[in-house]
Amino acid sequence: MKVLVAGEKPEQVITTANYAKSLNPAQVVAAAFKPFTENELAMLGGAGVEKLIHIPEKYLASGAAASAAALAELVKKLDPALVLIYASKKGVEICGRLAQRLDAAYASEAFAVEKGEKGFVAKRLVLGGGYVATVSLNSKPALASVKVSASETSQGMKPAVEEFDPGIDAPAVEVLETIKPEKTRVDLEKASLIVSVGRGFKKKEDLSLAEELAKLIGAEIGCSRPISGDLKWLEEERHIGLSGKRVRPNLYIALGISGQVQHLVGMRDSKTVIAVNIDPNAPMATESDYYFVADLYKILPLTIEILKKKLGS
Amino acid sequence: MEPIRETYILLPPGTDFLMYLVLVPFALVFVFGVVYRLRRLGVRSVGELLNSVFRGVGYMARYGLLQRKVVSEHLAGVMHLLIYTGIIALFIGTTLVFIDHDILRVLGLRLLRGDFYLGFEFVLDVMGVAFLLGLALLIYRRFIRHEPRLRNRLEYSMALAGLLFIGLSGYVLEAIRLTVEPRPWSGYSFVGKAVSTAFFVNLPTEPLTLLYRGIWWSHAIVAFAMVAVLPYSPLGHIFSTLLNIAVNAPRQLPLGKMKTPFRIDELDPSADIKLGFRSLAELGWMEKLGLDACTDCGRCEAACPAHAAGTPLSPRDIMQKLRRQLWRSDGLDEDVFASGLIDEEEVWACTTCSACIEACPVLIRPMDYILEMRRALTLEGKLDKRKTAMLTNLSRYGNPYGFDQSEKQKFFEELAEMGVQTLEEKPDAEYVYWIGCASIYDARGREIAKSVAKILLKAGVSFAVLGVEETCTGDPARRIGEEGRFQELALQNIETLKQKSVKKIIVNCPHCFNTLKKEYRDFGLELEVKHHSQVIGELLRTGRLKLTKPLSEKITLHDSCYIGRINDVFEEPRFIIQSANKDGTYVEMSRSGRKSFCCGAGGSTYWYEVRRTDRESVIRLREAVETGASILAVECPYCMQMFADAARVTGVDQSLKIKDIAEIVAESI
Amino acid sequence: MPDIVVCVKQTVDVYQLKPHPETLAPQLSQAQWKNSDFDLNAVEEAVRIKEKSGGKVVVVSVGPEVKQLLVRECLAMGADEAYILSDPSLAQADGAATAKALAAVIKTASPKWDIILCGEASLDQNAYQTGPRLAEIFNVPHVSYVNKLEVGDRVLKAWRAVEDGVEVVSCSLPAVVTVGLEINTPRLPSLLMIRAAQKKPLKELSLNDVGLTKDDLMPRAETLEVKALKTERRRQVFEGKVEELAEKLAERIIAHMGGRR
Repeated sequence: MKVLVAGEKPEQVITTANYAKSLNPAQVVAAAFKPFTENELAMLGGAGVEKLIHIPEKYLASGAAASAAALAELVKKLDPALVLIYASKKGVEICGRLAQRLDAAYASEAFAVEKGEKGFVAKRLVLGGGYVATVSLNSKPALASVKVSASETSQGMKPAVEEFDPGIDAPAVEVLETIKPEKTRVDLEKASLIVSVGRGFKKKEDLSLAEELAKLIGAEIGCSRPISGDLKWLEEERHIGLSGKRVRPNLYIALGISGQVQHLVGMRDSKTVIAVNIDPNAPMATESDYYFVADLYKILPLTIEILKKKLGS
Repeated sequence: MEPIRETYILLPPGTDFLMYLVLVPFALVFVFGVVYRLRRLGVRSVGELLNSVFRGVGYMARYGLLQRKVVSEHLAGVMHLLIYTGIIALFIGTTLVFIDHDILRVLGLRLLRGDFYLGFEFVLDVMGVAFLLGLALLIYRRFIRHEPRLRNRLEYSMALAGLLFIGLSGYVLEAIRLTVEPRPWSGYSFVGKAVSTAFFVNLPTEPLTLLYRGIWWSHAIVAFAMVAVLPYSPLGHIFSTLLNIAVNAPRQLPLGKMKTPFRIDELDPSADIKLGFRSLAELGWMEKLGLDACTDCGRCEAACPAHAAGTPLSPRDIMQKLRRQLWRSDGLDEDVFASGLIDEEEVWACTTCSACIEACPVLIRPMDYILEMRRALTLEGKLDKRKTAMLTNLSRYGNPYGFDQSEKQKFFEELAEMGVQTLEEKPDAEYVYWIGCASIYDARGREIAKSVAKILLKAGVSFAVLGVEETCTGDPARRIGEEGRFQELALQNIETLKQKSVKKIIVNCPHCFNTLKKEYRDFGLELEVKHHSQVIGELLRTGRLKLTKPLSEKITLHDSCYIGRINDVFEEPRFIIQSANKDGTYVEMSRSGRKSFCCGAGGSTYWYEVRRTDRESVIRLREAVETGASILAVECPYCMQMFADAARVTGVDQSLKIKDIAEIVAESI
Repeated sequence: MPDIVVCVKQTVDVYQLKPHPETLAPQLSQAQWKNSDFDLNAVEEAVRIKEKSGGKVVVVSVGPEVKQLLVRECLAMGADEAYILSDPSLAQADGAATAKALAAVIKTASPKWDIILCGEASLDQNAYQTGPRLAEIFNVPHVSYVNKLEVGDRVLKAWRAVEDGVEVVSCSLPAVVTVGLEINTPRLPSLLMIRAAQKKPLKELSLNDVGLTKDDLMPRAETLEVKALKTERRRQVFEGKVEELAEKLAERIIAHMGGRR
């Protein structure tokens, strides 16, 4: 079966193509608006793509309507069974319009797409992120925007590049400017690794221990309410809890957090919870996968040293 | 020669006639001023005014005449008493002179003669000294000691100058008269005599007489002028405060009770909504009178915990700002928030502790105005995220925290494990133990509830809990100004309570106590509500609860606003602590009882933030630490949370333990 | 004086949702319903535009069981009229069916609309489809993820948050705009205002009224099952010498820090 993969940026196309491999397609065609470097082309080849269709960048620049219109024309020409587009923000909005244009069965931000009894089956998160919906995509083509993480890339034979200008008009949105962020905004809700601090820390300066750990493993810093509220040691954006953020990381490391209900509500959806607390009976014990009864001032420096050796800082 | 009052001595004949002539325009200005001010306030008829005044005569006597609240602050009280009685005495003196000279003398009779007259002169001289002493104290407090709550404005200084002038010139006149025309009884006017001896005795008569006439006329004109501008000057407080006391005191609601402006179940949905006020035009004349009576004394500001914590709130400032707005030409219709007169944060910072009401010597209620302004702000609904979240949680989940049913269920299961039954399991229970949101959802609050339950079970009290049917009393909604949602919750609870024929309730939260006892009445349910301190006190007194393990700590008690000042429960918690702490000592904080300093959580402020430089809880905790106590006893789960947080943040939690009185008792059972 | 249409979806309160202990399906009947948070941001934005430039705000809500009280909350926020399409055939609606239903109602409710505002995604489905689909149906431009909006005469300017930063864009009206949570804080109308909103017109339409049939609303993408993503905690407790604990802690961290959800 033929799969068409596309994305806003070259690396996203490559990621999507790599994911498409798991479906064992007969053919994977890639479409992109931005030009690829030689290296990127090689990686695309490594993902099993033999043909890359380049749609003039002006369609992407004109906005989602134009991009979707162009892609629709390409889909009509290629007639794939499945279209996968990387779920970047622009990717998702393009997909929405594309689905409407093609009258295709569409699942957005799918984290998995598999072959189904009829057509395909996509899995996506719903209801605040705590539930998985299994959606049947039974149309030709089936459409999904995919939210998958980059996997190992390999080099392969560079695909043939074809230009495709559908010459179609669509309502335009003009980009006046793009403001780069001065400092990266904290987005705990999307973080996959979080180190969270609580009242176990006695002074603001001591948070540096947690920060060092976080930096080492690439985690974001979060906290319980007193830290950002009363003590104001961290910004309110980092507050995880009932009246703060709800997070769903892969790994949540709670340091010196007792585990009051108000806090638990914010991190309950974490995949794995590791906690360090000097109190063996803190409520956090029943809410963790791995609970270490220790003085965080003693265990953290040691752990950081070990991690430095194992991960190579 | 018989002692007799020689009015108009040293003055040319016809002076009295001229004086009265000069008086006329001043008197007219005064009358016009009074009428104008009353009209502007909105008083429509004299009859209406007099009616209201008659009803408040008793209050006027107690708080006006007898200065009951004024003297609660000692130095200020003495100062004011001296000036106040001095002025009254001098006024009575002048009146007697008028009667004596212009009425009786014409009829051939005299009053101010003989011994009576001697007494008269003596007393007046004494009162004159008192008056000047009072003014001296005033100058000391304002200009030397610079008391922080006192504001200095031009008009206050001018009033002071006028009074000083009248007081001093009075003696000077007396002195000159006694110098030029000495009399055998001059000694009774001892001050005048002394001044005369000291300054005037060797001076020639003619210039003295001229001086006398000059000072006499200026004394008269200054006096007349001060009376004429009385309605506009700070001294007008004489009337505005008396009026306020008479008109408003009798109809004031008890502390802790907010006005119920409508019943949501009786409202016509298509009717126009009016709630609270945003412009002075929306106030009735009685409320405007309350504003006008404010003398800028600042006692409310000095007592206000939110002010002490560096929030934008000063109840005095609000009253003064509104008062000045009252007299501005377009002031009545201007929106106080839109015009920038009042910053919304001022109104949100209030913890509704009622200390300002307690402090005000002339019975104004700054807090009432603040809460009515809140109602107007909430009506529009443009509240910040946290206030919105709290109200949404209340609406949707029946508790301000935003926890769903399962958390509630979990806690009641824990109580059931202790042996606590629900009303369904024990329908004949005498009391319903109403837990309250702070004790259902907060970890520390839960411990308090469990201690109370333990005590009730041990003492064999016949009680049950409502279980999951218990929802918030609605108090946070009412205090924040969202009257509709409060009533929704209240009516719901009342329905539940009525269905289950609940008559007696035990609570461990003063806010639940106040709302269930005082506010639910307006919606058709009278309940007998007891705070756990009252219940435990009763159990101890009647011997149903015995304490076998006396504590030996040093304990101090924080009087919660809604149990103490607002609901007059002071004895019981102290009795309980002292019973449990038999081998220890009890100390009072510097501000206790009615003067207790709020923990800062009340008025729904627990649920949101305002600009501040300090925290009420931290300030209060310092007071507790100063007593050297090892335990700070509290009677409210919110006070508990506030102090526990403050203790953690300031690092005091190692040396000072915060415990609810129930926990203290439970430990010594 | 723009004519604004706001699409508001009623969803379950996902924070109240508890999964069935065995099937792990969401127990929808136990949770309360509310207006989707992002859509309330849209209503607030619409009302602010009206307060600034005049115009009219029409709320449109479609679903299998649209509750009038929740729609009245939007009217209480300052919207002028509301149109509801409540039909059980929308119970399984996917993005396509929802967009179709909304478009049909909008054509009846406000045929000469200038802007359609809605939340960037719904609280329950989180699909980000409605806005783009509506724009495609009406063949107009759309701007998503907007956190600041300026509406002028026949043109709009929007600030939208994308991965690279904030894009400042402009397009002509009519257009569809989807908004994020950061754009404003929706006002919470007091209960009194909600009651006063009784006076505002609220019209319930049938499929017939808007020219739709049950078949039109069949979903293209069918949801086969919804299951909770819950994991029971392992609750392994480690006590002992701190040096040994540190080793184990490091080991656990490395073991679980990789991979994706």
